[in-house]
Amino acid sequence: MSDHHQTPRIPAVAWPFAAVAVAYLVVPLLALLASIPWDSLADQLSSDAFLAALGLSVGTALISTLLCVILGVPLALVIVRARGTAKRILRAIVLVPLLLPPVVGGIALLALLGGLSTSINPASFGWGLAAPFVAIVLAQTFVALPFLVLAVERALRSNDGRLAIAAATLGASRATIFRRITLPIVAPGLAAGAVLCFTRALGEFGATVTFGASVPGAAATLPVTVFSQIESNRDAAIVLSLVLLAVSIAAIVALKDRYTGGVS
Amino acid sequence: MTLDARLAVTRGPLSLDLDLTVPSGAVLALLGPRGAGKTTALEAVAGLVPLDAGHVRVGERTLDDTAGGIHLKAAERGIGMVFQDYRLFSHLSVVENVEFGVRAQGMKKKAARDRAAEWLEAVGATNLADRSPSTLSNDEAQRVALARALAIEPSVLLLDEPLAGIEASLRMRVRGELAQRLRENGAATVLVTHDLVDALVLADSVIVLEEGRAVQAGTPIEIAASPTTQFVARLVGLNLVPAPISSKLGEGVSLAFAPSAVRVTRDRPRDDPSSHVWRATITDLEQLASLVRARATTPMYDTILADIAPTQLAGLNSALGTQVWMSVSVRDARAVATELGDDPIL
Repeated sequence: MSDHHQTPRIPAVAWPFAAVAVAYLVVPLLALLASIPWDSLADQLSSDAFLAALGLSVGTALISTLLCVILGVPLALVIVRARGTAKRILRAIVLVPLLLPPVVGGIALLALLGGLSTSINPASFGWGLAAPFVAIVLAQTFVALPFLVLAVERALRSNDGRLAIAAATLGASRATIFRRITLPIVAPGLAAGAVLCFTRALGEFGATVTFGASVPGAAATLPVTVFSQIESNRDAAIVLSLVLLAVSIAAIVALKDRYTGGVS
Repeated sequence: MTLDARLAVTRGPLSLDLDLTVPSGAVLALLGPRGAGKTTALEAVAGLVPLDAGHVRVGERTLDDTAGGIHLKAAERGIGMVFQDYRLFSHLSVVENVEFGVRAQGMKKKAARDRAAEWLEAVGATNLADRSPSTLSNDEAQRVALARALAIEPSVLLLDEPLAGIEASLRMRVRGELAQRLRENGAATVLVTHDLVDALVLADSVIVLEEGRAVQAGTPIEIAASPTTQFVARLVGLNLVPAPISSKLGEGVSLAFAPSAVRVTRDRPRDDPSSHVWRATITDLEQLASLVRARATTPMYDTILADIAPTQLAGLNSALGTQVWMSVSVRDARAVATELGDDPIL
């Protein structure tokens, strides 16, 4: 933490490439900001279509995040305790949704629950009106789960029981150790994981559109609406994109110390 | 209360079998190289590692007895431990760290806060009370860890390499202060170190541990004067060489002597019952302040270190590989019994 004085020198040629990389990440977003339709902004943000999409997206993303916490924390605990091959296999499985194209995730869920050969309509497998909502949640949970597991596992690993052992020598019971030591130490990692999870779920498109949106209009989350409006109502698409961008920026701010430097 | 333990633990390549007895108020140092089983011994006393055989008793209380099937959990032992990496709770302030154990013993919040403040004062850390552990230097963290362990008023205190993380320039002061605090405290204390000076300053008695076994025990002064293993000899800066046959001391006797007591000559010294003589080949030379330290190997592959004045070095024409004679006066060499073949060849 304190060795600022020995920052290694980097080759001079790295600077221009790094600058291009930064521009590459920032300029498209600036272009998006430059194309804001100021005249219709207020109307777009208060339109029924927007409010419906926002409500559906936020609702499903919150439920998906909750599901990820319920499933992901125990999985992270198991991965930390696991050894050898079992640990490697579990880690690899967790990475699958990160590396798999989301559309493939959607097809996989359809194959499992929809029966690709007979019908690709989730509404036909008996969930009635809840079907699109449930389908969206399943798709979002699938793609967001790795973020939570990895963040919590990281937090657990940096603790790795050493502090719990110290607490035991001081006379603390297992319950006290969990409540006063393990939980508070893991909490920031869990919170960070939940924020990442929520952001990923909110922005989920590929799996959702494949699995949940097979009934036209039934799975109109924010990203799906952005896509469907590109041709018919470009202004609406831009405004919806801005909302998603704002959520991403809010997430980056919320995570600032954990993923953008500072803490080692 | 006296700590009385026999610790038999097998763990991977380590097979530990150690007896120790420490009266209350006394400090025992376990001295040994890395991997000798020092930390495992502490963990066994603390109840963090189960015994394969043996017992741990503190006064009348039995904490472990494999024959009787008794094993108390770490949390039930009332043994204070200072870990080598301190293990302060990162999400709690310094005073909350010290309070934690006191609260876990069932003391009320207010009383626990007062007790914590007393112990912080005892280690000179009152001014650190509200700091976060991540902002502490290593010597500060060590004092806080000590206060936290002492605050539960343990009858046994365990310290794992308490000075290993302390910067060299602070070591002397920190060591002196720790010695003072351990003397004031009434607990039976066991500390682990690989540093002889730590043992000399902090401990009343020393057990030298190598490969899980006690190879030497005594007061720190005795250990320093008569090392019986190469590990201790190196630590105290003495040569430990099997006595030459000409000395007629017999097998299993080694001589401990300082490099400064060695005379190095090109020609064989005259036979003289008042000195021990070896033939040796110089294998290394090193500048040591105003002297040159020569490392030489005897035909029996024993290593002898000798300190030579640079002027004498020129007279010897002692380049590497030169054959020389090394002699030491019987007055300067202490005969110690060592098991033959026990020491690895250096």
